[in-house]
Amino acid sequence: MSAAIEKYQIHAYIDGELAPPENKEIEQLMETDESLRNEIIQFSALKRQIKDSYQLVNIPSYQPVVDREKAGWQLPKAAVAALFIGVLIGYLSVNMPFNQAFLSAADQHQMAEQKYLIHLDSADPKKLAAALDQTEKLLVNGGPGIKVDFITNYEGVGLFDVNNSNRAQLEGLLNRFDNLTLYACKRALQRAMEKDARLQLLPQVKHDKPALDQVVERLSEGWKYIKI
Amino acid sequence: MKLTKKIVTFLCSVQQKERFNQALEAQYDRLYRLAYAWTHQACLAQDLVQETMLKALEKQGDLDNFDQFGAWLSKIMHNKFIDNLRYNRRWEWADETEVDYCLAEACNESKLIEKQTQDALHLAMGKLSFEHRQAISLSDIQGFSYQEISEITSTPIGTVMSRISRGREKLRFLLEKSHSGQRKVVPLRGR
Repeated sequence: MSAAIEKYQIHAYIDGELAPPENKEIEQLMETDESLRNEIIQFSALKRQIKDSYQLVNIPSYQPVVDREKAGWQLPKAAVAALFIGVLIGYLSVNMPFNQAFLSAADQHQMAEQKYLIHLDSADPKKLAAALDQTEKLLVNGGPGIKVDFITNYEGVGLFDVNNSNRAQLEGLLNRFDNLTLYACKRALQRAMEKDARLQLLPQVKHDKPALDQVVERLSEGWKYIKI
Repeated sequence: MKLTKKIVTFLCSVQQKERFNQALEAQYDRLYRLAYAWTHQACLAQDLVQETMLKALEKQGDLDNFDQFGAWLSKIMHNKFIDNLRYNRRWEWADETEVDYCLAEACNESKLIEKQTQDALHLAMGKLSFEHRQAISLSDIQGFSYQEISEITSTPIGTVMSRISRGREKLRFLLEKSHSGQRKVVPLRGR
């Protein structure tokens, strides 16, 4: 093969990354240099093979990051919400000073936004403790409308094991706050069970879907996301 | 007035989100192929795509130009993958059933050869270093230019050229090696 051509130039030629004069130079050399010609044919075939092979990969069905049905309803919902807010403000402005009415609506909006999603994917004791503290702080300091979802995946699912040392603290929170919901990732749980069949979740823990689906669903609903 | 503006802004954001989600869905197959090439396992590829989409959803405000959507997503996937490699040992798991030959499955001869070729390539890709595998997959599966690969992987363009060149050389070597050691499929003769 011609010594004038570097190997990277062959690949750049195949990928269409060379300038026209360099292309021409290689094409001229190919006419006389059989080994160069063979190299280019082989690597072009390999490039095609890679593309074709990965086209044949079985692709799992798409899981939308936002539920299509819900997304489709968002515009009508927004219109209804706008109408409702308008009527509410109109009604309140007749019965009380405007500033007071506006503040009440703003307060309600803020209250409605008190939804938090705490996500833990580790079995690190420090992170476990931090996650539990954060949950407790939110629930204690939040208003009556606050909602907290605590979701675990990967090694974090062990936190919800009945034999976990944090069980008492977790059950204490569940007893005190009915606005706390626990989720364990379905997939992570399956993997953890394969590794340790003794794993047994607290009965209050929901585990019917993958964590990422739950996180995406909550984010699309406007929940605040806290990753520990 | 302020409230009206807020409502209009909200309605616009709903439309933008819908457009963004449609664009995400359109990219799903491409992302999955890339993730599969990088992670080498179907379940990890699925997780990586989900994480990438989740991150994209969070960061959608950062996207300046929809024309660059594919490259932008690939960069997010690259960053997620590197993070997972650094901090998460689960990415080192090997699922043998994923890479095993499906010889038990009833299939005709040409399908078997096609499957063997596909599996051999996937196995050989898995033996490349991640940098080589990534550069090749971004170029050959996704069709990105060297400049785009350089931006996605945050590496100089010269490095991209070198990785593609060396990666393909190594891949050819591995495939030749696997072909020489592979059992040949002998066509069945009719009685």
